[in-house]
Amino acid sequence: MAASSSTTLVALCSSFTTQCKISKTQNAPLSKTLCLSKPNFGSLSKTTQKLSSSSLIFSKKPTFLDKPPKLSESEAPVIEEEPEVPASEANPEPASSQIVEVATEEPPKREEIFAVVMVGGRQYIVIPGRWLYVQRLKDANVNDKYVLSAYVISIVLLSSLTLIWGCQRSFFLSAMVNVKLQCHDVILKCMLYCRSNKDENTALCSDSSYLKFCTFANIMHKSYFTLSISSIQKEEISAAPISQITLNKVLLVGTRTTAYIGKPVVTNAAVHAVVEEQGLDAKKIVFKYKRKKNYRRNIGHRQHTWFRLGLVAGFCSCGVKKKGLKKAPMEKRTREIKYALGLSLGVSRPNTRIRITGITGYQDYPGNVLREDYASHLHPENYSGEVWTAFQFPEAPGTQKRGPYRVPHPVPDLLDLKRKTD
Amino acid sequence: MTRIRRGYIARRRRTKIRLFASSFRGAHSRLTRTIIQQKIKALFSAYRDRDRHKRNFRCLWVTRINAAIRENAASCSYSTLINNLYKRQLLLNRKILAQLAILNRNCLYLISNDTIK
Repeated sequence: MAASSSTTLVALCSSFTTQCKISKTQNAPLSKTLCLSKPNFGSLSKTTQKLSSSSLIFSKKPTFLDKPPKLSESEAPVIEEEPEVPASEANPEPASSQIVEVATEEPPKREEIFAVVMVGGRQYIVIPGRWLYVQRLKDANVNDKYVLSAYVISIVLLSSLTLIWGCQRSFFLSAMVNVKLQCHDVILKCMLYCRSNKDENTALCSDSSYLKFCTFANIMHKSYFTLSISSIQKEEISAAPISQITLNKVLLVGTRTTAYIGKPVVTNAAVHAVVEEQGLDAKKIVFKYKRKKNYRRNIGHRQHTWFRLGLVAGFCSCGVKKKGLKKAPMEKRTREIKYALGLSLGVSRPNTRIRITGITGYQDYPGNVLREDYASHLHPENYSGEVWTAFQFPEAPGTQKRGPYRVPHPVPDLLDLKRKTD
Repeated sequence: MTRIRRGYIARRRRTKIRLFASSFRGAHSRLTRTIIQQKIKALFSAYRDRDRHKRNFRCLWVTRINAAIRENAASCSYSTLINNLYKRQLLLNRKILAQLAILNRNCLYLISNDTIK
């Protein structure tokens, strides 16, 4: 038992290069055991959210996310408040129960509410269950929380107040917070206990009767301890940790009958989302080119190929260089070179993919109710719930063509004015 | 001087360019020199049009909003709508309004009526 645990410990610790990679390395073996089928977001429920959250940690699909300076302020406190708002309770169950109607005959039943949320200068129409790419949200890390292994949890414990401790404090704090959210209470106790009694290695084992085995090791000036969970608790800790966000800038909330128009923001309204992945946008090639300069030839492509041959510094003969590059300092030149290279060195924008879990807090806001007499004059398609059915919920985000201005299908002909019924 | 062959250096370079233009039509994907030119044009167009992309879509949204607003008897035009939006301090942008015009036009009418009041 000791040997096996120590070998696993060593194996795990050897792969710990940074904090954030801990959960990633543990993800791979877990993906086979705990990977659930992609959730059906039509049926919104706590279990669905749990499923979605568990599959989130294993999804490696790219997301794009920008980080707005304004949103960071709203996000930082939100993440700290996470322990107070458990993930399952964030789902606006009471709100949705009032409004849920079966709009279509399709199996996916979607909550008939949508909101317009502003994330960093851009606005998005969001509906619960939809995923979308937004700008990189720096603080919203998917891997903030440790993945709870079925067998082993490895937590980095610093034995002394060093610089490393200072750097990792925030992570450790977030890990604590996040572990508290997902873990069994036992582990929470252990964490607190160990945090308060950093130097007492043996205290951990004594705290919990659920732990079968507890080891403590000193590796590279850091102390690790591993807890092996008994098989009984495995099922309880099967939910993968998630990283929840709340988007506070809600400009508009619309339901089937009411629209809450924010001036400019719907007060107290919040859109809850879950960070699925932090990734990079599709690569774009930035190619700058000027033609027919007097003492130049068409050399954009040449420059392209020139640097591809790796002759950046020593190139002097083949074709004419760009004027800016010739005289620019080396740093700028290398940047320009990178831009000129194209295929191999494109430009990628970091992004984050988030999945909307719910919309809350708008009920107290004065809303404009759609008058029945007014509604009758309009085409029935206008209130058939197209917002909620129009957005796709692809199971494989990577396969869908991504774009910043994705118009949901089908798109009715806007200029068909004869459809108006009177 | 002994004969020296250049080998595969040029061929490797051209293969990469050819790969880029492999989906082009006709000679633009077959002839080497044409391929090189078309790649330059393509990349340059992409670079230029990435900014145009933003402009184009905004034009489209404006047009769509205009059409949707004029359908409604109560409100007048896009210009008045935008003016009213700014007066009432609504932050909804044209993209959202255009999508509302397509998906949930009642909401758009609610917004415009709300701003007119």
